[in-house]
Amino acid sequence: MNALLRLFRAVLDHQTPTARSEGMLRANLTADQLSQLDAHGYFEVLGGESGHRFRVCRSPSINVEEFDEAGASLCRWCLLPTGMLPEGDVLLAQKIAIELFESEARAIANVYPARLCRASRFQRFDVPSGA
Amino acid sequence: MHLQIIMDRSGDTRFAFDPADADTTALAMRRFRELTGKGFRAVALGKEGGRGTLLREFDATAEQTLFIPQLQGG
Repeated sequence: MNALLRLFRAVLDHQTPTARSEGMLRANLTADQLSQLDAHGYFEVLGGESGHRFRVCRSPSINVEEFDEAGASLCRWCLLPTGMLPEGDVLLAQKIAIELFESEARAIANVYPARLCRASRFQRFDVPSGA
Repeated sequence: MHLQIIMDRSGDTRFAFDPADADTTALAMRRFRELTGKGFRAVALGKEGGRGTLLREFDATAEQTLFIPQLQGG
């Protein structure tokens, strides 16, 4: 009986917008990006024009972080497709925008200074001595 | 069969067309123009997560074309 319930739930889950969008996202990530997403809740993308590294995180907003060549956090972007799309679609749209039309995406995005956002593992800090 | 995939609230809506069939290809072309005219960006998806190609014109040879709604700052 439990197995039947699990199967029923799996069928239902597969049909939800969240599950559908997650499936499409996962089908359009590289193996490395998929590993990052599963392990850390983010994946990294190279900007098609700047060559900068971007980290796209599972988060409802301000979830795209841009890094310079040295790995320092430059800023965070808030950039969303219109239409209240489920999370997987949003993340995939962000990945494609960074890869294929970075300048247009940058012009549309609201960009926030890195210092106003929480620290990340790649962010450089100027830590005062003795701190 | 080739696919046009439109992102929407349900996750996505898919339409198949046969590039060897003039009728379904014409429908696919009309859908492409309608959507891009509304501000959707059309992307020929890459293989295995690789970089795709931004499409400015309908490409019947693209196996999977993804339509992304207009972007906005949040």
